[in-house]
Amino acid sequence: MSGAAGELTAPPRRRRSGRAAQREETAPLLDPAAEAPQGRGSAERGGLLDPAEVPQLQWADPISSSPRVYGRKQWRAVCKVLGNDNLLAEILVRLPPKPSSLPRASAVCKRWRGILSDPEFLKRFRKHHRKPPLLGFFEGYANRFAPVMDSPDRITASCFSMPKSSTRYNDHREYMGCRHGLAVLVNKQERKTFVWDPLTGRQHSVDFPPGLDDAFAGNFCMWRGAVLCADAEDGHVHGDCFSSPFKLVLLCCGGYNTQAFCSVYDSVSGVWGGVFSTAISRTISLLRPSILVGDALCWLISGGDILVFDFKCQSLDVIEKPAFCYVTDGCFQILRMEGGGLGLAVLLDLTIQLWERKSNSDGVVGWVLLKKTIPLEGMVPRGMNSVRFVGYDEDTNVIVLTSMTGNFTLQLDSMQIKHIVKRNNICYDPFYPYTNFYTAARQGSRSGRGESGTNCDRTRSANILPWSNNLGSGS
Amino acid sequence: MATREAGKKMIMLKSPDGMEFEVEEAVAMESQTIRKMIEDDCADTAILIPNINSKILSRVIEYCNKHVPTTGATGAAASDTVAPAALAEDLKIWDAEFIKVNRATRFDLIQAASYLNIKGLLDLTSQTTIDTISDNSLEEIRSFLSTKNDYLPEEEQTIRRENQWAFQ
Repeated sequence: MSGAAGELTAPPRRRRSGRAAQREETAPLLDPAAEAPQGRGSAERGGLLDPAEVPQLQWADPISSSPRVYGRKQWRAVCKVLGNDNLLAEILVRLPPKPSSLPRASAVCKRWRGILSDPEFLKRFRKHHRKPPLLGFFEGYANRFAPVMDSPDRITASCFSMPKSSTRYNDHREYMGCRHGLAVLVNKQERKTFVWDPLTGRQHSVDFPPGLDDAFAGNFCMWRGAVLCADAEDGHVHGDCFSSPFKLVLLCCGGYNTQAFCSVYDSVSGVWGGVFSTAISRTISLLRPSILVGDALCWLISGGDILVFDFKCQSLDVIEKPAFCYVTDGCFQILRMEGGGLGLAVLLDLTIQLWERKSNSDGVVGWVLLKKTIPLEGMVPRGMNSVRFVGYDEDTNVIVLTSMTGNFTLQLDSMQIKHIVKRNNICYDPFYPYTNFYTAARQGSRSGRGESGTNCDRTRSANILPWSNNLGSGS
Repeated sequence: MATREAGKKMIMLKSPDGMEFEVEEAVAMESQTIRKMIEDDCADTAILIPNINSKILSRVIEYCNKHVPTTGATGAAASDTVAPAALAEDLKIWDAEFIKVNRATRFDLIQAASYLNIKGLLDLTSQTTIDTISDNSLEEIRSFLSTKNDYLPEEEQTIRRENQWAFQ
C-alpha cells in the first residue's frame, strides 16, 4: 500500500498557476453536503482508477508539502465527470493551443489519446481557440524554419513533412510563403504551382493558367504565388485547411516589368479565372510575400508602391507609397492594421514610421502618418545601424527584422521584441510566417502510420540534414 | 409553482434531496435546458432537477443570479450607470472568487453546468480544471484526476518518441 502511494506521490513543483489551485488545499476535503453519485457505470470506464485504489492515493500538494488523501466522495465527483467522454472532451478542448498540449496529454492514458486524436475533437479544439498560434517562420526555403515558441512548443524544421519532389536533388520549386496553414511553391521550369501542407506533407499541384503561360512562354519573367483558404463553412477556423476549398493567386511581371498580370485559381471549380493586368513602374519585390488586407492581397513593388488585387472588386491596381519616402525595399513593410485597413511601416534610420490608408472628410482616401512611431534605438543591440524588415505576420501583427546579430521579432502592439535567430552576419532571406494549431499533424500521424509516414520521414531527414547548421538559434 | 412577485415571474426548482428554490424566470433561463422547458410549456409546476443536489443547485443559482443580463432582471439602471467593460471586469473578479471551491464541488459544478447547459459556468469550471493541471507533469495530472496510466512502458515510450520535442 505505502509502496503504491509512494510511487504516485509527485515531486513538489516549482509553479502552479491559478488562485483556485491554492484554494484546493484550504478547502475541506470531504464535503458533508456532497451526495453519492447517481450511477457509477460510466465512471468506472477505461483510464480511471478503481474505487479500491482511491483511498490509498496520495498526492503531494505542490504548495503545501503535506501529502493529501482524496476521499471517495472527491473521487466520485471526479469520476462522474471524467468518466463521461463528452465532459472529458469539454475539459480537454480547453488545453492551451500550444503544439505540445495534445501530444503530452495523449500520454496520460489510452482513453485520452483516443479522444485527443479524434478529428471531431480536433475541429472543436480549433473552434474553441479560434486563433492559431504563430509557430515560427520559414527562412526563405521549405526546409529552414525559425521557431518562435520556447520549449516544449519549439517546432523545428524536422517537425514538418517536406513536400514530395519528383526530382529530389534538383528541386526548382521556389517558396512563396504561407497563409492559413498552407504554403505555396512555384516551379517555373515545370510551369506548376504547389499548395503544400507542411504538417502532413500533402500537396496539390496546379498547372500554370494557360492564358498567362502562353503569353510568357520562353520569356524571362517573375512569378509570385499566394494561397488562401476559402472555406465558407459557418465558424470555420483555419488550421487544417488542406481539404478545404482554396484560392490560389499567381502573379507575373512581364514586358520588362512594365506590366503585372494575375489570375485566380478556384479549387472548387478547378479552373483559373480571367487574367487581370495593370501597369507597374518597377518589379514586384522578390523578398516579400503577399499580405492579405480585408478582401485584397497586397504585394510590395520595388521602391515602396503597393500592388493590390481585390477579390471583391475583381481589380488589380497600384497604390502609390506615401510621398517623400525614399528608402530601400528592406525599409518598407505592408501591414494589416487593427481595424483591418492597409498600413505601411517605413524604417528611417532606427525609427519605424507607421502609415495607414484613411479617407479624409471629403471622402478622399490617402496615406496618413500615425502619431505612434517605434524607436528601435535601445531595443536592438547597440551598433546595429543596418536593420531591415524581412518578414511580417498579418495574423499576429509581428514584424521580423534582420541585423548583424541575427533576426528579431517585434510585436507592433505590445512592442515586445525577441531575438529568434542568432548569427554574426546580416542575412536578407525573407521570413515567411507560419501560424497553425499543431493538430493536422496528429491526424496525419494517426491515419498515415504506415508506408507514407515512413516515406515522409525519410524525405524529411534527407532535406533537413544539410541545413541543420543554418537554423540559427538551434541551441 | 410559477408565481408572481413584484412583477417578476418566478419559477420553482427542486433538487432530488427535496429542497425547493424559488428563482426569477430570467435567472433560471440562464440554463438553456430550463429555458427550453419553459418555452415548451413544460414548466407549469416546480421543475425537478435530477442529479444535482441542493448544495450544488444553490451554487448554480448563485452563479445565474450574478450572470443574468443586467438589462433584464435587475433593471436597466445598472447598465446605464456602469460601463460594459467595468461590468465584465467585475464579473471576472466575482467568477474567480466563486470558483474557489474544493475539487469535488468543482467537478459537481461541471456536471451540473453541462446538464443544465449553462455555457458560462461550464467555461469557468472546465477552464479552471485545465489551468490547474496544465503546468503539471503527466504523473501529477494522472494523480490529480484519478486517472490510471494504462500504457505498457514500451507503449508510453513509443508515444513519447513520436513527439519527442513535446516532452523536452
